[in-house]
Amino acid sequence: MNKITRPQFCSLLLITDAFSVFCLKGKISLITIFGFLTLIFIQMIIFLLLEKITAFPKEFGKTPSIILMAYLIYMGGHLFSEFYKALEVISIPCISSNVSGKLIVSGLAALTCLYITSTGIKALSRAAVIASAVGIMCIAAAFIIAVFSCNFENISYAQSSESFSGELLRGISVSGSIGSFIVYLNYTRSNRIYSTICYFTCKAVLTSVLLITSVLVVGGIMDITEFPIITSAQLSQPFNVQRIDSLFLIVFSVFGVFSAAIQASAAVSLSKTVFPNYTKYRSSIVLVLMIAVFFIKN
Amino acid sequence: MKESLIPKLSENIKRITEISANSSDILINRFYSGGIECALICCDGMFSSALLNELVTEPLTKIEKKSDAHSLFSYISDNLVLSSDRPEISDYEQMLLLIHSGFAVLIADGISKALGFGIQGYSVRSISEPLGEGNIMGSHEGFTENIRTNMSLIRRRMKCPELVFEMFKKGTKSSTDICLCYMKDRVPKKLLRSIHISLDRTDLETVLTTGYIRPFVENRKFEIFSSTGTTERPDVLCSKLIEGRVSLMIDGVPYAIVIPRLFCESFQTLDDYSSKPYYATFMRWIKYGAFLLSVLLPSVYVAIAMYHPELLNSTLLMLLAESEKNAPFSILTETMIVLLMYEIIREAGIRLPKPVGGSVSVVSGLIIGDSAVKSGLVSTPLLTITALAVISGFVIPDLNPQITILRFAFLLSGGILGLFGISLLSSAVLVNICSTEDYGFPFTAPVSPFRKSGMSDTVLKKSIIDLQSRDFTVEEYHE
Repeated sequence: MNKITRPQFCSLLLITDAFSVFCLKGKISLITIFGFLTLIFIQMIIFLLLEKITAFPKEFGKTPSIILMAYLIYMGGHLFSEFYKALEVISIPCISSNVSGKLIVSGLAALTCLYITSTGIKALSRAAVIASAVGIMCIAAAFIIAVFSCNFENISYAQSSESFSGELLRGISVSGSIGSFIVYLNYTRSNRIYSTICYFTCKAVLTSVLLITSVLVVGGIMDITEFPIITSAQLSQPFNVQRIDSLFLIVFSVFGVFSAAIQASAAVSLSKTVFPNYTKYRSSIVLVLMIAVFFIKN
Repeated sequence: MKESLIPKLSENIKRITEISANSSDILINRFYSGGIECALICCDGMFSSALLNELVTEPLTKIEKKSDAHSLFSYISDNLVLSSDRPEISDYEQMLLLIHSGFAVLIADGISKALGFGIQGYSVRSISEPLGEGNIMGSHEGFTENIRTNMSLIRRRMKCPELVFEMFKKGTKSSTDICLCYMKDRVPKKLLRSIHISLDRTDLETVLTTGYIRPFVENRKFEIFSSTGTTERPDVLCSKLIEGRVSLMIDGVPYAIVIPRLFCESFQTLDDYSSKPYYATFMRWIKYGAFLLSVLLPSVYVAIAMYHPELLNSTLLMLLAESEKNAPFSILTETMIVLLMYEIIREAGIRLPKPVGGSVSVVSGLIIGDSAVKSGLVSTPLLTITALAVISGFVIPDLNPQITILRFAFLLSGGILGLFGISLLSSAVLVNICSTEDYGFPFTAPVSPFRKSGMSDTVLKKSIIDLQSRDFTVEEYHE
């Protein structure tokens, strides 16, 4: 069995979480941040209790594997769908914003995703560490730029349309990595409790940084902003005549491709339990099913 | 089944002539030694005439009369030291192999065995400075085509009993000498066992370069970067051996294969260990930057110029627009042409004889380059960018083939899909690099999987005192 280290485990999941936050739609305010953080805390407590009391299963049976696999495939399709929708506001050259152009872009992302999935969990987890390190550096740079050039009054302008409980429930939409968390936790070679705490802490920090950056930059225009995180990247200008949204495009597409591949790899690993005798084209079949979910959702 | 020798001299000679198809380089000298009719067989050009006359022919012709061939051979074996390497031969296959390796073989009438005398003396290139791995402060000795010389170059630097040379032959036709070299106290036992198994799989007719053996000791799936390395420097090889790596040396090839190889090693040179740590660290980061520049610079330039001009400040943008205004082709086509031209010129420079090679650079640099810019076919910023990318690639000559292909791939993806294409391809390339491993040693170690101890010679280059106390072996990175 492929074993992964704690940094690899955290990187795999944080990429998916970051991408889900990138694609977050609707208004963001301080209540959103509190709601999301509370949900992350609740999730951590639940998983720690499960770990402590029920000794979370190290090997899944056939039925739980099928359910989890279905969830992962759904999540993969959902991530493709989010990617597709976000293309509305991200300018990709040569491809106009019509349906066929967006489908070509999504298709290319799916092809890259297929290649990544086919290399296996070991390669994916090694690459995820490097990709997340580069991505987090870019996010940190954007955050610093935002802090120095923002208007702090934006915090008060940013009003959420949801109550605290509503934001708590909304947070579930950016918890897509829970399925892969359960799968990859079995692959970690380090202490599972430490890994769980480490992951949820990093997730809380990352989510806060992304949401605070967004509130600081686009707080004043939150009402007319569809994708607040993407817009905050588009509006950040490190120098007088430079914009960084094209650079954000790199982080966005790398994280998008990786997050779908992470779901697919987890589903492929479960398929070994569900269909032990069938060894060929596992990655391709999982990707095809994800694309089917994508078409159903759109 | 091996064909044994016959106790009749004339029939033995007839059979040897038959097997070698009367090849003109097989020399057979018949003479009497101790009153017994004998023959000394050698291969022309493979032995030293002086050694043959002085150490073999003269002592053999002075032997007193013996009763039969058996007593003659036992007398030679027991009383004469004609050479240090004296194998006894019982079949034709072994006999011809030794003859072709530069041995003189003595056969006599009335005995079904022969004696070989190692008097090899073929001409070899003397030790010279390695061409591909230049350095300032280290040794200026490089490997030669002679495997024995190469072994001595290593032994001179590692005078310890732990250094082991395992010799064997590969190639059904070439019978090439191959030497497996390792430090028995440092090498991971599993790695050594796996390499032996991989080498047993080889079924080659001939081994002419390292490329004949490397695929057998590398992963079979598609890898952009090679998980085994080569070096032409004995000092570099010694540093690898001390870290528990295994080396394969091939007779006739002035390069040694090193197994396993890590990505970060491509950025390390022996001079790093002669310089001050702060300078070595600085130079290492220059090399990392140069690698990224050489692969990505043309593609990022094309992507920004074509699709993301908002990333440039107004002065740069104006400069670019001005220079590209009169160019007849798109920036992508222009860059493609310039890079292809460079590859053609480079190949011509390598393949042509050295005196003509010089004129190639004059023609390409002065005439083509200058006139292309003056005529407006190529813009000056583009030429500068391309030249910068190409020169950056020279900093890591080890990775030149991969850099060339990646540069074109990124250029196409950047030219068609802009930064989005570059990011998609980067993801695929990153995963490919991370999936590269040899015998369980990840190519990307110690960065991913992360090993803090490995950072002292990767991100930084600490002083040799710190590195010495690490007592590092490559086994630390095994997964």
